[in-house]
Amino acid sequence: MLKSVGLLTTALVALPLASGMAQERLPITNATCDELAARYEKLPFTDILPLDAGPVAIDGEEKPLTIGFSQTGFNHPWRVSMLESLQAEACRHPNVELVVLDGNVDVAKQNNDVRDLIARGVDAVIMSPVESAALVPAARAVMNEGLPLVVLDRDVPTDKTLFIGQSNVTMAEGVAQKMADDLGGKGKIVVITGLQGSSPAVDRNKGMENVLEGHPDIEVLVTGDGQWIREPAVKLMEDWLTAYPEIDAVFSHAEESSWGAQLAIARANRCGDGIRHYTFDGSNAGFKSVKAGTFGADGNYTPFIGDIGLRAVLYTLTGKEIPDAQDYAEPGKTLVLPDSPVVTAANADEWIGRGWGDFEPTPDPCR
Amino acid sequence: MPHEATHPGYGAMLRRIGAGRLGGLIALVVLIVIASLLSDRFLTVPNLLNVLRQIAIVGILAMGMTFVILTAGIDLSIGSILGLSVVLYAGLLESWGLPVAITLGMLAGAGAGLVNGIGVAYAGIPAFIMTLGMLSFARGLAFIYTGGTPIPILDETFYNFGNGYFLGIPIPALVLIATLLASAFVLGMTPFGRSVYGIGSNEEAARMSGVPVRLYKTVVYVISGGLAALAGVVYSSQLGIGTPIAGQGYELDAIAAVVVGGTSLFGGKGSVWGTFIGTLIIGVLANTLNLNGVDPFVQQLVKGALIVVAVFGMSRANRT
Amino acid sequence: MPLKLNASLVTPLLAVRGLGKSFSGNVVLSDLDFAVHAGEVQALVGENGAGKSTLIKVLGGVYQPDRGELLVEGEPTRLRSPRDALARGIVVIQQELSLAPHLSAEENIFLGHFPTTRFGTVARGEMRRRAAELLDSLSIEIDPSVPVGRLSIAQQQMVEIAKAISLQAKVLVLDEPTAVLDEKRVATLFALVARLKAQGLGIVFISHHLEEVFRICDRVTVLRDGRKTGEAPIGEIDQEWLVARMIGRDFPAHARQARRFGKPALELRGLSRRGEFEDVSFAVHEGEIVGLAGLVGAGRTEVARAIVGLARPSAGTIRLHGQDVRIDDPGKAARLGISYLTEDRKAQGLLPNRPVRENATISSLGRFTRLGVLNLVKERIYVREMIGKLDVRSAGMGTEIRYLSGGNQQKVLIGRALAVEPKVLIVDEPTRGVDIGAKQEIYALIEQLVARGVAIVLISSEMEEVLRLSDRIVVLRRGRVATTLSREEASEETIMRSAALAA
Repeated sequence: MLKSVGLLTTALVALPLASGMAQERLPITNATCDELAARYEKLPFTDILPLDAGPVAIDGEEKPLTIGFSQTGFNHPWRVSMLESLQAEACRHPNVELVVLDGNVDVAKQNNDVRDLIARGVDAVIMSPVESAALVPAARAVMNEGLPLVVLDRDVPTDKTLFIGQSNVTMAEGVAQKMADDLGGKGKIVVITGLQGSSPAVDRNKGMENVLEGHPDIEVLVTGDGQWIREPAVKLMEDWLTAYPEIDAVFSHAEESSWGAQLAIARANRCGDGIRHYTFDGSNAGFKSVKAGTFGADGNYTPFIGDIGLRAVLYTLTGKEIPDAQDYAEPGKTLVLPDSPVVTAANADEWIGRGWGDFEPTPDPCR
Repeated sequence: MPHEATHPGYGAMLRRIGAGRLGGLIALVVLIVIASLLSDRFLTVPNLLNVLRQIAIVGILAMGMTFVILTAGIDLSIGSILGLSVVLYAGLLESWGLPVAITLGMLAGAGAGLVNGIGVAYAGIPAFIMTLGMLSFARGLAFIYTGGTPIPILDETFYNFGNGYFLGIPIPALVLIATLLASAFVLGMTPFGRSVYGIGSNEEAARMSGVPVRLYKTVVYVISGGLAALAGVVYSSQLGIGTPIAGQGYELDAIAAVVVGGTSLFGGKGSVWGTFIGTLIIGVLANTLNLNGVDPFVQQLVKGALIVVAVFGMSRANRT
Repeated sequence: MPLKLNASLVTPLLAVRGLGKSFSGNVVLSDLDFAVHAGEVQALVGENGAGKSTLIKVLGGVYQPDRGELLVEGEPTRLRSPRDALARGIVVIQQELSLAPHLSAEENIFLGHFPTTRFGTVARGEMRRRAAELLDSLSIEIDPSVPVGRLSIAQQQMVEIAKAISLQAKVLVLDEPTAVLDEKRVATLFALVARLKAQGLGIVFISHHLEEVFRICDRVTVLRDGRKTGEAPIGEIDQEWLVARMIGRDFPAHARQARRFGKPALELRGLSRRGEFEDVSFAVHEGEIVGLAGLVGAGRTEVARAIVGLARPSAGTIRLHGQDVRIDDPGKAARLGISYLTEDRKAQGLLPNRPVRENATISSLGRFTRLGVLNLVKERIYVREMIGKLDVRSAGMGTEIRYLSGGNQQKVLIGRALAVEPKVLIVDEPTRGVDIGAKQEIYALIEQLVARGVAIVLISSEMEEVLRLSDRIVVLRRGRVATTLSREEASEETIMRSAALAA
């Protein structure tokens, strides 16, 4: 669908990045290294696999290193933010150059992208797969070349150097638990999922169900597909408000959908119902909405793991051991990240500025 | 003898009583009856106004698509043009103000349509290919402009346009109705509109009759692009956000509304009234499914089945 | 001498008895008896709308009869589909051929019943051999390996017939097979029909050209208004007998006074277009009909297209009322008062799924427009008047034009051409595919126009038509003017000699 976007961005990104030029705008994020350096401080996981700034030496030699990054796609700011953290780390090491490819949310394209990276002769590959199983061939190709492969966010069920991800299931349990507590274990809720069938939507739903099993008095009135975005959620909520006179909370898989639902509530003059929102994504705007009281909780699914990925690659290339890398159910090793706390009114202030995205939340139409 | 000159089958009979349009209307009425039986909340004023507002965006897109399909063309790029216009409104609003932002966004939409039109009418590129290219190109521009990040819109006037009421009717619905009336007027009451039908019915014959075929075909794509940008105004003002992914896949919803409304994909046959009814049918269906809490997977299935059944019924009514 | 049986004593291959068929209350066929015998060519004639095509569709299994019965070799049979009919050996060859253009003749012939090898693949060698045999036995001379899209219409028709024979056809229905053929090809076709007849096939032949009926048919059945108005062995009747039964009235006697011309309206001077025609010069005066005659491919239509701006001449000038003009498109031509009635009604004339009204006014919308808005009332009044004047018979001006008969369609297109109030009218094959009654009406119309001072260029392959209407005849041969004949000089013979023979 977005083939030409891919071509365009690929063309832009493929331009050699002179890492020394701090003022140069980096592709896609359009940030300079100076700007990223300022943000680096606020990244949540810089203390994991710490690495000093400066050139990276392999066997005492500071030769140029090219690291390939194959991203699912850049159609969502969350994905752009992941790149931002990766670029921020790369900026700290003058001899590290990034090659970024846009998978266009297309497994076939991403498989090709990864093979292109290998063909270009990159020194290591970082990949955030569109879909777990479908990227196995690409992952095998990297491992067969003997290159380090770090997989971010979504795992691949095959051998890899390291997988770094967060659990949508436990995060959803946290958000759902907060909702159950707020409701006092009793109430009627509606669920707006992410794109139906996608793995984060499946996992977030599973986490919610795990918690609701213990709360039989919380009734799920209806579930609809919000596709991660705002527009379908408005229609769903509008119709549900018509159909159900009593709704206590909206459990939504995405902040965008929650804002859409709130818009529908305002338009239906139901602001007075006190419908609460429980949501995910972990953007700064989302945290502000938590602080403002629009959202009861925001699952902090941070995209800022790209920097860890790059550091893991550099650790591997320099022969440094990755502490805390564990064996797990899948082939290869995993690095377990500490669960980011669910952001609620209690800790919102602490987290604003450490989420992703620098846009403001839509003003709450009920306020 | 005169009755011998034509061989009216049942299809011709149905057509003579206007079943092409009436069929859609009957289907809509049946759907409404079923909907009100399934939920006592369906036939309430707020819900019906909701439906009108919900169909506004796709409805406006479908009006433009009707022009294009009537010429036997297709415009796959309208969802992306909507996306492009939406980010321009959001991005330009703060520094340039509302009127400039709207004007430039609309010009961008019409401009993308112009490129489509020139490609199709003058360069002879098949409409499917040309607009498929534009689908990707316009979306790419939207992403480049925003860097992939949605731009929030904080303008009060703009928000009220998308969410307010005029004479008790949601403003987006009024925009849709105004678009419908203007389109119906242009198609039915102007030489251009008449020629649009002629081009779709037999392009060569229209050319031989002195119709400026290339010019008019170009204009049709400009209208389609312009209306996509107008739908973008409704989108961004309603949602308060300029996101580059706005309108993904809407071209298919618009095509569905057009064909359910009885317009032939082969051109020359159909009307914006039919498209309006087609849009309503799809909108009422979605509303009903939501009111009854139907599983989202099943919703897709029902919508798909409806499109096929509706078009099949239409083709039966049009058989010779 | 082969023994010739009295056909009526033998069981017919295919027959209908008391056939009735109506559509939504309109009776299209009633109480019709019709039969084809082995070794017989049975003509089916009648005006468009008389019920011929409905009868063919019943014979071909497309429609089921409402009343009466259909007998195949004496046995009452129900043909539920064209496939059913095919299985019983009844093959209908439509005007529009149903060949796959990218496949070769041999592949088309065996499409659907390819000879196969034991592995289930197509046995190419055998297919080739059998196709060659078949074409040979029918004396059809074409290269069976060439894609049929590259063959001429006449050759494609032959392939279609060969295909029918390969399907073991017993009855062959030919629906206006000669409409698309020139004289020489007609002869070839008729030779083939004669051979098929000798092989014992029953043949139903439909044609508007009555002289063809007399050339190859044994019997003729005349239809009018869905009833049989006559049936006779061909030897016992003449053309007048046929025409009277077809139209239910006699021809008006054809008398003509000499016309008085005005000033030159359209003059071509050395008009050329590379590869199509060269150095064509002639003039048409106000109130004059100039016939443009010549064989198919002589460049007549090409000249007309250049005049109305559909193709750009490479040299020469066009003068209109004494002034040089440059015409870039048909719109410009219309504004200058030149109208062109196309030879290819279907491809270039009709807006098939639009109503009669819109078809009539598409070229003259300007005259109903004020301030950019159409005056629909004015348009309706105009079209109603036009329909009356041209005697267009249809259910109404809202009927889609594709439901009209060929003759009525043509009248609407003439109306379209006239709506721009042309000073010069170019009519290209104005009566092609039009039945006899409508033909006469179209002639009368052309004569009325010329009497009002319109200059007319008539392009026609029908000698009779050219001779009857034209004041002068310009004969083209291979893109050049071979000669110009006055009315007195012109005859079928002089025209043919100039058109076909080298100077």
